Amino acid sequence: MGADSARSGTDFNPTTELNISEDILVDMHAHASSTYPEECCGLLLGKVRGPTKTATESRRMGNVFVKEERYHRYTIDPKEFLNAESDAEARGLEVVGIYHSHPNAPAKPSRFDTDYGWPTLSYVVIEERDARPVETNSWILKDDRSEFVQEKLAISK
Amino acid sequence: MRSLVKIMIPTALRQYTDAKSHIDVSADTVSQALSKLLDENTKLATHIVDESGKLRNFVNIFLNSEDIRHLDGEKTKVKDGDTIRIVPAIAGGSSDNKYISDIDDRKVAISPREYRRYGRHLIIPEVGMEGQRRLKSSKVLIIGTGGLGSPSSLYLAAAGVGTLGLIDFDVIDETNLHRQILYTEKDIGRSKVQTAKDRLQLANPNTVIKTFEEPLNSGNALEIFKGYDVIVDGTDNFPTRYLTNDACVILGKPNVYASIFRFEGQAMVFYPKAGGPCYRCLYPKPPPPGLVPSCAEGGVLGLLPGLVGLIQATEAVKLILGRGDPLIGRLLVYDALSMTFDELKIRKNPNCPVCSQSPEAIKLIDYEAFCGITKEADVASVMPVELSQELKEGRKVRLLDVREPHEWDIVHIEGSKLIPLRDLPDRVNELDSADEIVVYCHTGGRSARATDFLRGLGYKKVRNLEGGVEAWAVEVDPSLPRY
Repeated sequence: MGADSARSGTDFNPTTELNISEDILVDMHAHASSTYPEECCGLLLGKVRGPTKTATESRRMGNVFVKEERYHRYTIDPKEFLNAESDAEARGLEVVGIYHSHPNAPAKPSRFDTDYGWPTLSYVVIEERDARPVETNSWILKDDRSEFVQEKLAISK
Repeated sequence: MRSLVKIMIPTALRQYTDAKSHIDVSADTVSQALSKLLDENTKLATHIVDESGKLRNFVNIFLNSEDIRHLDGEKTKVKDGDTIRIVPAIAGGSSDNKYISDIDDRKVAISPREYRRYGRHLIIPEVGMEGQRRLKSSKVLIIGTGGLGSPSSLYLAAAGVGTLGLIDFDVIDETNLHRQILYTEKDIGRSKVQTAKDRLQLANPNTVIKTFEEPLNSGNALEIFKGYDVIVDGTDNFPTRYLTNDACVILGKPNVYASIFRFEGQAMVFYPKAGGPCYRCLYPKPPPPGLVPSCAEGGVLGLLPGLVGLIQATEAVKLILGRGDPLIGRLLVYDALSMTFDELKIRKNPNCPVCSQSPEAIKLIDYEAFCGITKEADVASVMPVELSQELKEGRKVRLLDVREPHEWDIVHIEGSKLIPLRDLPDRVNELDSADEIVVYCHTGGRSARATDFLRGLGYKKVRNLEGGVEAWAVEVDPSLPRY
C-alpha cells in the first residue's frame, strides 16, 4: 500500500542524483532500526558537482523533537547542525543531504517534510517496519516549495 | 552610524546568492540586516520568510554563536564585525496525521462551490481547509449497510468523505425499515447497496460510492480492504467480525467496531498499529453458537443503531483528521434505557493469536467453522410445503415452537407447543422421544440449535422447519401475520 502510493503520488525527477556508498546505507539503516519506533535523523556529508551529489560520510544526529511525538517527527538541534557543518567545511566537505526514518510509514516525504524542507539538499527517507528497513528513497524539494520530487539514489560498493 | 556585519549563507541556499558564502550588509539590528539581504537576493525570500514576511519556523538566526531567540529576537542590536548565521532547523517526520499516514491531501482541492457546502466545517480550527481536503482524500469502507451502516454512511457522505465503499449482499426487507434509515417502503425487495448508493449520491454527489454486492470472506477481504483508509464494521455476525478484525490487523488498518442489541450498544476502535488492542484481545474466542442472539432473533430498538452508527462515523472522521482521542483501547458501552455511557479499558493481549504476530504470519481462516456454525444441511430439516403435505396426510407430528412468548402472541402455527429455547434444557422432559418432532422459530436459526440439542440428547426423530414460521406464512398460510 505505502510503496505504491509513493510511486504514483509524485513525479520521478531523473535530473538530479545522489551517490552514496553501501557503508553509508548500512549505517543509516542500522541507525533507523536502533531508534525504532522513533524516527532517526542525520546528515550526509560530501560534495556537489552540478546535479550530482556524492556523500562520502554520514553523521548521526540526535532527534530533539518532544519525546512523545518522535514516532512521527524529528528535529536536529540547530547547534549540533552548525557544529557538524563547520567540522565538515573545515575538512573540505559540505552538507549535501539529510536522512531520516519513517517508522511504519512510506519512504516518501510527508506534508510536514515539505513544509520544513530545505531546497537543494537531498532528503533520504527510510521506511522502517518492525525495526527493519523496508524501502529507501531520495527526494529533492522543488524550487517553489510545492512538493518533493524523487531523484536517483545510486549505491556503490 | 550603521554597523557592518557579515551574513553567512548556508550551502543549501547558496544557489540563490550566486554561490556567495557570505554577504556583507550594514545595519543596526538583525531584522534590518535580514531585510537588506532579502532585498538584494529576492529568490532567497521564499525559503527564509513566509508569505506575510515572517521568518519561517524552521529558520534559526544566530548572532555570532547565540540563537537570537535567547537575545532580543530580530530586534537584537548588531555591532561592527558581528556574524549573522542562517541555521536550518532540520525537521520533518513521517505523517501529518497521528493515526493514518497514507492519506495524501496534496492532490485534491476544495472547489469554491464546495466552500459553501462545507462552510461550517471550514470555520472549525480542527477541520479547516486542510481537514476538509483530508476528508475528500479519504476512503472509508462500510461493512454492512443495515442498521449501523445506514446512518454512518449517510453522515460520512454528507461530511465530505471522498470515497465510500459499501459491502452487503442483502435485499431490503420490510423488517429493516424501523431502523435502516437509508431505505423507504418503495425500496422493499431492492438491493441494499444499490439503493444505498442512490441515496448517498443524493446526499453528496461529490462522494464516489463503490459497491460490493457479495458476501465478505477470506478470499476477497484483503483485496477489498486494501483500497481503504478506515474500515467501519457494521456487521451483525461473529464470523464477519473476526474476519474483519484479522484482515485489518494484517493490513494495519483501523477497524471501527460497533454492535447493538435491544437497548444496548458497544463501540471501539481496534488499531494495533497505533498501539491498541484488536477484537481478539477483547474476545479471544467466539461465543458458542446461539448464546448471543442476533437482532433478528433478539430484537433491537430502532433508534439504537442511529446513535451507535454515528459514534462509528465520528470515530472514522477523527482518525482521518488526526484529531482528538479515538476509542483506541476503550470500549464504550451505551445503555439507552438508563441513558448512560460507560467506558471499559481494554488492554492489548501480549499473547494475542493475531495482533501479537507479525502481519505476514497471520492467515485468514474459515471463520464460519471457527465460530462453530454448522451448515444447515447438517441438521435434519423439512421444508414448509413438505410439512404441510405430511400434516394433510394425517401424519402425527409434534410441532415445537422455541421462540419467546411475545413472539408466539404475534403468530404461531396451529397446534404447536411453546418452549422457549432457553427453557428447553429444563423442560425437555415434556417431550416424548418416541414422537416425531418438528421444531420451528422465526426464521430457522434458533430451531436449528434446538434440533441439534435434542438430537444430542437422543431424540432421533427431530427435524427443523426451514425458514421458520416466516417461511410457513409465505409458502403455506398467507393469512398469518409476519413480523
